[in-house]
Amino acid sequence: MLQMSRKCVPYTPITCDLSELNVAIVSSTGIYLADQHQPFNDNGDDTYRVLPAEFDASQIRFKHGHYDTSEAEKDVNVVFPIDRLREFAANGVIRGLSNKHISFKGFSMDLKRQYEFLAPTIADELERSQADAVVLTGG
Amino acid sequence: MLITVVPNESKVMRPPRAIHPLGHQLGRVLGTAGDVEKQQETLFAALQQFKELHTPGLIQDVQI
Repeated sequence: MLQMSRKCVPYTPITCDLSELNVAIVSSTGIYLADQHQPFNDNGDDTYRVLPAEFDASQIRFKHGHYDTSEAEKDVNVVFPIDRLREFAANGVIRGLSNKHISFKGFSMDLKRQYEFLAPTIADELERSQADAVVLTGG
Repeated sequence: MLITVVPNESKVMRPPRAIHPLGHQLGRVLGTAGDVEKQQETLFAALQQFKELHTPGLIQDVQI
């Protein structure tokens, strides 16, 4: 499992063009797919959901409780810009989308578990995906 | 690459690259529902950060 520094800012210079990158979204907005996932818990939640590159938009749901999801329920792209990424891929701005995108709730009283389990597990998931770069969004 | 509307809170997470789209709010960090142009501009501003070498951890204010 990846080990993260507690002091340094992790930084990897990118030497290729944007048009050569597959991009993933990692989001603490509590998004999940009703036909594939269980909702997040009402209280602290240390789990995550993997969203595929293509999914049925009618199945998008939000379970968070710590931000107003009303705009996101009208248009997921205000917090999870999946359609905008697809447009950029179609226009050649980026190479494409990763085969995996990640959602989690981002609220937990157990920060140790978030730091030592959830974040490295998500990083491992991305290491095993097609992602070259990641866009992080919150609620 | 982080898009944040709470830069002071995000700073402690030490993101390698981050933008703060000025005026955007929680629950609509890329803009309002249906505003495709603003969402595209915000995401493009974020992706542009991959092309630039800058101080790791810097959260860049951007006017969209």
